[in-house]
Amino acid sequence: MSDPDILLQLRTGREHKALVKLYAHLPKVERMVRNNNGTRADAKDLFQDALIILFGKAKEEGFKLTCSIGTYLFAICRNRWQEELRRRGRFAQELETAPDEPADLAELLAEEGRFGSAERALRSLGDKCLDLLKRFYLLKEPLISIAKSIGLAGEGAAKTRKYKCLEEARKRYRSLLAQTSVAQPQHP
Amino acid sequence: MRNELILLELADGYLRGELNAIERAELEERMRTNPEIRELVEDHRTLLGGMQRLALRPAVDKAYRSYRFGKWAPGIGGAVVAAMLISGTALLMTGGHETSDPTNTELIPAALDTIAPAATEAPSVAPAEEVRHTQQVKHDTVIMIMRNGVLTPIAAKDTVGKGTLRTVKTVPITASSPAELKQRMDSVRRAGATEQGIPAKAIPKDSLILLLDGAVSPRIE
Repeated sequence: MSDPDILLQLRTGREHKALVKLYAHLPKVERMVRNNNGTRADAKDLFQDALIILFGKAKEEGFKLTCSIGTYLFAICRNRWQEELRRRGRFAQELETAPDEPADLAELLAEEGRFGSAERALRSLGDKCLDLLKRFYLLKEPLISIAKSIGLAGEGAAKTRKYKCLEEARKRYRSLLAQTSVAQPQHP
Repeated sequence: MRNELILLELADGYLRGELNAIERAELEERMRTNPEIRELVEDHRTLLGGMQRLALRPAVDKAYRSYRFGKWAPGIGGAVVAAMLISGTALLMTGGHETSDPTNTELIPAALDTIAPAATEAPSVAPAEEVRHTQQVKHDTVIMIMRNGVLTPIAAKDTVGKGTLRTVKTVPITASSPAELKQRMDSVRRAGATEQGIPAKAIPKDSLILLLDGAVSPRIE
């Protein structure tokens, strides 16, 4: 399966085979992480995050890769592992860079770092909130039908519940940001 | 709270492209002049991004399981669920008069003589001299799949949309007592694993029985 084929499948909802194929790049990331104070579990988390970034990007209109998918995934992992090592306060050894690594990853990684924190904040919400938000934002279920199925009085009540959940998520996201060294979002 | 709710609804609609041109221009103007509103919209955008990641994660996890399984059983495509079939036939001896299936008694006459009647469920009326043995045949089948590196009994949902179910190995086991059956099934479990190139860990003697009962799922690294 060629890179354009993989991107096409990721874009068009036939992602399973493509994703399985992409895991072939995991061992290399595993080596890099394990040679630099990390575990296999660290490598898996790192790599799965990179896959999610690629997956999300592939769904964006007009996404173009300037290098191979393998290089792209590895570059994301390498950069994020470097950042993790700095965060852990270890002697920050410079991880070897691939010659064709894309140079413009910094912005992408800063943004994805924030998305990652937001994801963790959302995950940390109670099941009720997460269920409501998933139904509304991912399954595109109308508020009125969500209200019915979770036993709320009506659309207004569902809207209020959704607001409260989002407020809580935002609060948790903010406190996660404060904990990590991930740069605060810059507002121009 | 009312105002905050309306503002968040506005930000939500803005980011999801649901506002009309006038509403959009209005909100953009407020964002320009009010840093708090700008921050609210930016944070909401980030939360929606986090939501998208949440949506993509299950596919990535599922692919990981297929990838691991593909490595575990080379040659079997990742999308295919392969099954390991272990079947044990327990020949439990019962002392008693009634013989529900007389042909079975004749199948293994030699074995019958060696079985101590103590291990049996004796009927209420104990025979005095002529003891005829009846055998009960118990047949257990468990189909297991690798799930995240763990060998687990297959569930109906595992067979949906996953391609063909293939039997990798079928092992009939015959034993003359429940204890022996346990032991043999255990060793077959290990043998089956080794034949498929898995470095099998030694597992506790009872584990297959527990596994058949659904009580445990042993881990094979």
